Amino acid sequence: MKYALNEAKIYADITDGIAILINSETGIYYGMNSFASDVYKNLTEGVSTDDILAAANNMPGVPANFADTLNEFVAKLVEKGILLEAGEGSSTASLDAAAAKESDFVLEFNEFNDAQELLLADPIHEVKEEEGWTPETSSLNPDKEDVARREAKIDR
Amino acid sequence: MNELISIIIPVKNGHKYIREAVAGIRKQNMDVEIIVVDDGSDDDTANIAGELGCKVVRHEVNKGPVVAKNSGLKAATGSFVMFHDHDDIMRDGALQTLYNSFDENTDAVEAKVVDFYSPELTEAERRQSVIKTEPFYGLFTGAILIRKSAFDKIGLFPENMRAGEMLDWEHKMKQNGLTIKKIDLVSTDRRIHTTNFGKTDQQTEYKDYAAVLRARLMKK
Repeated sequence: MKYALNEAKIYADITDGIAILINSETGIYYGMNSFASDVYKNLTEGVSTDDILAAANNMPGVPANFADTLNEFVAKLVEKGILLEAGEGSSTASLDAAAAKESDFVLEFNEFNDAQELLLADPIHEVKEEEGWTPETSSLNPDKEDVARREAKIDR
Repeated sequence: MNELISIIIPVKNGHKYIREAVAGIRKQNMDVEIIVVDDGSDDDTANIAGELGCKVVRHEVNKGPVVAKNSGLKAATGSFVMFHDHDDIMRDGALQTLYNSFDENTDAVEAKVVDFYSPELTEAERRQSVIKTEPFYGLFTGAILIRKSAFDKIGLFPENMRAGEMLDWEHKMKQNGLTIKKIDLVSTDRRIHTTNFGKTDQQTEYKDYAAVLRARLMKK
């Protein structure tokens, strides 16, 4: 079976190998561990569950019941409206062995509702460019060191 | 009298509505300083704000709402701060109620806002902008009064963000053990009109949201 991201209501971002999914209709968001993020990425790129399973089975240390783990993970993503069944896909599976090992082949997937009010309060809208208010790109601070210093102060 | 409250209005091209917003604040009859951060407007927002007796901070280049909030914070001299959009209208007595809701263990008090259609909107324009019919929490505008000292602990808003600063603020308040008290009050009417939403690149803005949420999860 192949799947695609339900882009009509789910925003997804993978940064540093960790996926965050936001349901723009409910304000619920989801987090995954690195291996689940990797499997999710493959799924949304059109890799079939059979191909993902085959790739996982080629890795050392894969648990005997990984097919059940994968099916359960995919079922949850479908149940939450994150993935939709799709027809064709052309990608081949590409799994990160380090993420699999680090996660011990566990596909961790968690749901959070602690930011619902904020995520639903002011939905992101598209408006005409000439009427909107967005910063000049050059005025945003792209200095990562400065951002890190600021964050260090805040996160102490 | 109350301790001084700095009300920060970040704005770009707000000449149509800013008078009403300032009038709503003045009607609170509280000791306030109103700081208008004019973020590179092409219109006469800054002049109007000056005429209305507001302190005006001017960005020659448009830097966006997040940086504008920080500029307001840097200029604020009050013991309390509130952000207020240039097009919204605070309800009579709301600021006093927010202020009176503080105790020694409270670092911010949050009320609700409610949406309303700006009167000039046509029926067709109203149909294009779905509004919330019930009051709701979750916006800064005229609804959250914050001890200025909280920002000494959590710092300014991250200026590499374009959106999600409220998520970031709430997260950092909690991280620093600061308390946000919610009260059952509608403090401000939020005007819905054709130009009040920042022009957005959805992918970029959601990426900012995701970054804040990722940081929240790392702390769980």
